Amino acid sequence: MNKVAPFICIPLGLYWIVMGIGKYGLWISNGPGGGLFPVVCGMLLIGCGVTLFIRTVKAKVHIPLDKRAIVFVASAIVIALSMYVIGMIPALGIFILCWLKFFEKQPVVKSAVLGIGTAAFLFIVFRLLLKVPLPLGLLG
Amino acid sequence: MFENMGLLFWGFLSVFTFDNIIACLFGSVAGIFIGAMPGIGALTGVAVLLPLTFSMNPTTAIIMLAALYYATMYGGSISAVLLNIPGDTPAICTALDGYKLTQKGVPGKALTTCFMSSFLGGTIGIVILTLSGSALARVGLKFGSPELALLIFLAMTSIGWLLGDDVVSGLLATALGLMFATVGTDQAAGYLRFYFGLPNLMAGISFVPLVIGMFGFSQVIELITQRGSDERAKIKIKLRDMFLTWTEIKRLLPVQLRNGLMGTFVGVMPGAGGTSASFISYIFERRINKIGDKFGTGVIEGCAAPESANNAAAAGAFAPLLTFGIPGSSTTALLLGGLMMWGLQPGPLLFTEKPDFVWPLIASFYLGNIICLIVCFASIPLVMRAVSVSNAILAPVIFAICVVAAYTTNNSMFDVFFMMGVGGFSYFLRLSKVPAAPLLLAFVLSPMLEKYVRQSFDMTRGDPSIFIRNGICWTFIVLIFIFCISPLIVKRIKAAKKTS
Repeated sequence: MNKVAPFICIPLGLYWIVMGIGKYGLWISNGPGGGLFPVVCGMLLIGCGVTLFIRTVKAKVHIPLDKRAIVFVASAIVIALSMYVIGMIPALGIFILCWLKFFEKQPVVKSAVLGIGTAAFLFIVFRLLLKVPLPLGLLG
Repeated sequence: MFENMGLLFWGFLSVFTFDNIIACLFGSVAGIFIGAMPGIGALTGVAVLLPLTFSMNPTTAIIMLAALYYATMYGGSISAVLLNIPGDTPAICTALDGYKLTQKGVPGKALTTCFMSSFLGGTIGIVILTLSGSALARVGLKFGSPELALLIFLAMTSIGWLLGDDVVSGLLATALGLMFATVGTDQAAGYLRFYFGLPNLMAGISFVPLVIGMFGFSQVIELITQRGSDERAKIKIKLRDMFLTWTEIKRLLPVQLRNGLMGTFVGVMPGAGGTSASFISYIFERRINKIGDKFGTGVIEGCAAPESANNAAAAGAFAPLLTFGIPGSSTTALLLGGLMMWGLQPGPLLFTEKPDFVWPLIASFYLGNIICLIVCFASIPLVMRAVSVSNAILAPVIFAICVVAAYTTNNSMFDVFFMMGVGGFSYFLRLSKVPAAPLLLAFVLSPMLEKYVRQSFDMTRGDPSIFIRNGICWTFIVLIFIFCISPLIVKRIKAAKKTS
């Protein structure tokens, strides 16, 4: 997994160079165009990305992707999508409760207290005190 | 100068009314709290409280909002040190060493350093504002686009000192920062770049979700993967650990003084603000400090430099605001709007026509700074208890805070998903040992660099001689040259010493 970041940088850099030269222009009307900085960063991304990728492959150091990290990120995405239905604060409260109970094997009372407590704290601070219009979801 | 001192004394007499003291106290406490909450920041805090002040006396109102503004600089360091999530963008550099100190088991020492540095930096900024506010603003006004471009380029040439041992990884991070900065409206020409048809990206990438993703969400993923190695939870924190030794105080004092001065000067310059001040001071301190090579590994100097600079910049930003009506930061731009709504016109005449407004305000800075220090120290035992919570519990709770904080920036779910995307990518960057600091520095500075470079060329129809038009430009060019070649010379000297 330590090869992923340098590998992603190579096509990104290529896209930034192509767009910088082709669409925004390097030098327009006696001055740098909107494409100059993108081209510079694209060249750096490709140069450094390729160097780092080759170096990582040669070093033969393989870092496997942690299964817990995958489960956590997948759960986080599901919870973020569920906010459209049940609202942000309840979704986050349920997430904390479930994560602590089922993945961290914490006692149910402790998980519930932390889930409800965090949700209540966020609601009081952001919704009541700071008047942030947090998503309420379809259930209102 | 003596006249200013006399007016300041009169300001102190005026500020000690019940309303003003309560306003200052409320602003300070609210500012520390808002600063410590990741993602809210001074700008949002002032924006939220501004409507509450319309019925107040203008002096009381600005005292409350100004106290809130500089108190967020104190508060921002708390979550940066304890959770590795900078409460506000000026605290990003504080997290680099502050969180490492927490991992080493001395969060109290890190917090004490931050608070003392914030206090000293703020005091330096306020004293300079008192004595030479108008003169400082005039110096700042001498900086046109070419001078500002060279100043930013000077800061960018120092990125090398943030890169760490691996230059390639550091440059990759810098390039990513440049890439993120090019998304959105081209500031010089006004057309859209790299926004992929998404309306949320038209104004560019929001800094707060980016920072929360890079520091907060990626940190949460790392905490999740570190099951069974919950060393931080085993740390026993004692109250006596928060006290600095005399040797440490002597080490910190010059750092705080020089970065307080630098922060004030950066704060005076239009558009620079606390974030630029903390980045620039961290870079320069890393360069000149004897233990500069240990920056980023958990040294108290790494906390002291950005904290004293960002508080000093917060005070310095008031100089151009009050004397010329030019805001030194985005938050002071909001305060400028408030001043106008209260029927005041900031500018050179404000000092002569409204001394009953200006001098109590400046006097309140001294009072607010002391209140902030007391409140921060009083809260240390409370916030240190948060550190002993285990990773298993901390990770989902931090995730919840990250989500709400990212959403709060623009009240948009797009920012939540963007934050999570950046966090995931940052986790991969961490696995490749690519540092985060150069990315953020490039992201902050490169849009300004691009804008000023292009404005300079526009001013002269493509004639580059504008970059050598005066002594300020030449000074920066010489410094850039020195900064570029000095690492090579140092390397040569070290190699020569080794062989001998």
